[in-house]
Amino acid sequence: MKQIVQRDVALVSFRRQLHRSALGSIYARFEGMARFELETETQDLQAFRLTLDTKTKQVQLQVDDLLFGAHGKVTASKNKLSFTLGLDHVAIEFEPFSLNPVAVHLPSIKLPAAGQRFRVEQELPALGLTGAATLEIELFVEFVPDYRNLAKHFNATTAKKAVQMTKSALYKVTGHTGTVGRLVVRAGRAAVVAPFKLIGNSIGRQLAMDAMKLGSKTKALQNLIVRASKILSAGTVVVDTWLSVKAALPGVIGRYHKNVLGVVNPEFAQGYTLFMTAMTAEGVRPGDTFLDWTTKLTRMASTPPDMLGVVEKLAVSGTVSGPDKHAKDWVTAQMRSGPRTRNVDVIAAETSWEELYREGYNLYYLFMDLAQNASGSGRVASAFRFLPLAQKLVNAAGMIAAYQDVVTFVIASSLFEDARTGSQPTDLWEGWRDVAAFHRSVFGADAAMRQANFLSLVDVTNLRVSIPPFADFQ
Amino acid sequence: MPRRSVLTIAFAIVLASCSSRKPTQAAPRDGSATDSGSSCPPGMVLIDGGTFAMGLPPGVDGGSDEYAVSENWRPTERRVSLSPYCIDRTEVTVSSYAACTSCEPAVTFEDSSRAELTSRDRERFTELCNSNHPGRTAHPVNCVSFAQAVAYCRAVGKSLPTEAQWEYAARGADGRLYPWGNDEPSSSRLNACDSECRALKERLEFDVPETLFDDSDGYAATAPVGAFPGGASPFGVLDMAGNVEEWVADSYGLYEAGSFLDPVAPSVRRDPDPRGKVVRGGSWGSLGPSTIRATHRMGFLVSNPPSWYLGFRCALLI
Repeated sequence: MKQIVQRDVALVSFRRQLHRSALGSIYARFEGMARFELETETQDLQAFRLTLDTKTKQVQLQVDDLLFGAHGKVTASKNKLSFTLGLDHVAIEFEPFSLNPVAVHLPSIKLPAAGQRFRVEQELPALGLTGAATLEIELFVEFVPDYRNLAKHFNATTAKKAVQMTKSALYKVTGHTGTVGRLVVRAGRAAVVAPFKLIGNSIGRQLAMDAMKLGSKTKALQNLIVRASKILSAGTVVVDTWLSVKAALPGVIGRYHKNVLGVVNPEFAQGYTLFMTAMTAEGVRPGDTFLDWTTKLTRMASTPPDMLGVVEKLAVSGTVSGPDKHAKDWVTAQMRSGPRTRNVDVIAAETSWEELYREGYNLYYLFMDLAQNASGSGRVASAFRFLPLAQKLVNAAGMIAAYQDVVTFVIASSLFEDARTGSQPTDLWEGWRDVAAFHRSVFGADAAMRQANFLSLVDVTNLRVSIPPFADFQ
Repeated sequence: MPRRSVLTIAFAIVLASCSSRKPTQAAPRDGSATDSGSSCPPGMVLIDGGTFAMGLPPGVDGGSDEYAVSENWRPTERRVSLSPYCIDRTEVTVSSYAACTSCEPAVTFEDSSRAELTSRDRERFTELCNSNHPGRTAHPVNCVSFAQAVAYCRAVGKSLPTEAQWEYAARGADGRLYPWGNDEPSSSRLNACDSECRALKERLEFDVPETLFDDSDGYAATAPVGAFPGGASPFGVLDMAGNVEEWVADSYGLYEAGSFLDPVAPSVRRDPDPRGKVVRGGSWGSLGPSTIRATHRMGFLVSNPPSWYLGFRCALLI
């Protein structure tokens, strides 16, 4: 008569170096547990004092064999590495380091060993136990940069590109669940921050203190950013939110563009800063569900003609050409039927806020003049119905841009490993709490004051957001 | 702000839920116990609640499931805050269980319905299940299933304690390893496997690689409940280290790091396995110090035959 006792054993921090270059090292780190279900015929529970010392070399080798298989072998080339997990071959391709020293592209990796069930008496005979065990494994592929070397390669372009690529990779990661390995990118934002840390936390702290002593609080932050940027040899340490379309464009289009920007950019900034204000409020404790945040948004059923594209082309080439679809026909059709919209589920981490901004801009561009100058009150009223939709879209774009900046910071900073001590934050959200506290101390605990201070850092003409959630001042 | 309409509201709601969906943060409180009297039914101890670090702190050698693990699987702290509750001072006795008219009788194995039982199994059940012995009415009821334990507690207007309630009642908030403190276990503090236990087990053909004590604690198997006042927990709860192991309400699994208020089963890193329930505390058959620690835990399948090492006590949230 069998009795089954369960014991979970954590197989903590099992790491293997896969590749090393002058710019850093890549590790495969397996974290997980094994659930043992041990059988007894004797009914004596006390016989089951499972002690699996995962620190011993012997057990590590056994677990290693279970994970990698008897013929586990790792091969690495400049931009590709591969190894065997159980019976399956896994290959990972990296962006060539020569193009971007801090960005790593990681495809999803399925772990064949995850969920694998094995007989204890066969695989771990030394335990002298009978039963089954199930492996619960997560795989982390880590790129740990050589920060000193990376710092030499840094410039504004690589830093910015790294942040963008990290965002993309991280958002893919958040989509993974269950038995699929979770991928961790130890690059991008963390690497951007890292040289600053490496130079010395004491210097960073001194910078912050110096900056705080200077002028207004906002000025203090700006000063801090400028000085930190110089140390990084990068143009800036904050994420340039976007948009380099010049406000000063020639002719009627230029003036019209300026008028549209005068409405939509403050709306975007308001969305952005409203979100930042909310996220830095006392007591806000985002949890892991924050990464899966989904909401509903009203968008146009038919994409408006790309008037912003016209402006962008004008800014670059000095020439004007029509949008991708006939603007007058599209507007006429919309006026006839009223705003035709669709409600869409928006996954904030995966939504392109640039696209939302563009849609809002275009909508406002197309209906602003009509709303003000159409003949007949009915047509004016009809045109006016589109403007709030446009404003909501750019407001949402601002919020989502802020959300993505927060997420990027939260994840990247939580992955940061101090180059000197090797320590990591234990809590994914730890870094954000620090940032929020800092912003409260500088921008004020009062929400309205904090939002006003955030707004003062937004260049609404060029839509350049210099709010420094990423400044490393610890 | 009329323009911020739907999305803003949605964001605000989600922001609010960011804090509420995470396990509740609780303000630390100093816990204390009050003897039964005004607030608890007779035989129960009032525990005023409090905050404590559940499980072993990182660095103390122990079973890996006694640590809370963080997102990156590293052992870290699990802070639990509990509301006031009452817990039985002792394990439920044979006589108390028998007094429950609506409860299914504990296993006696007098019947032969379990065809898979060998004659040796039958001998063991007969010898070790206390309900078979009229002289053991003050002993803890053992050989009861999880369902029977739940049903009994419900019948008397109580419930099984959660794992957190059990551990807090056993060790309080000061981080001690055993109910009485950090002194090594001795035969005056608990009923575990001693020389008489060894003799009994050998007679019943158990494997006995070692014993916890070289001397005698006075009992070969279970002892009457409350026979070891020297092993009382800081709240005065008895028999938390020995006598019988105890069912608690939680499903088994690694538990998660973080701060929790009144956690209820399950709070584990992965989907809980409802087949296995947590068993806490040591028993009369415990062989080593680690298995009687107040943090010791393991999963026991509810489909298993009832065990003579396993009993329970009840709790009551007030």
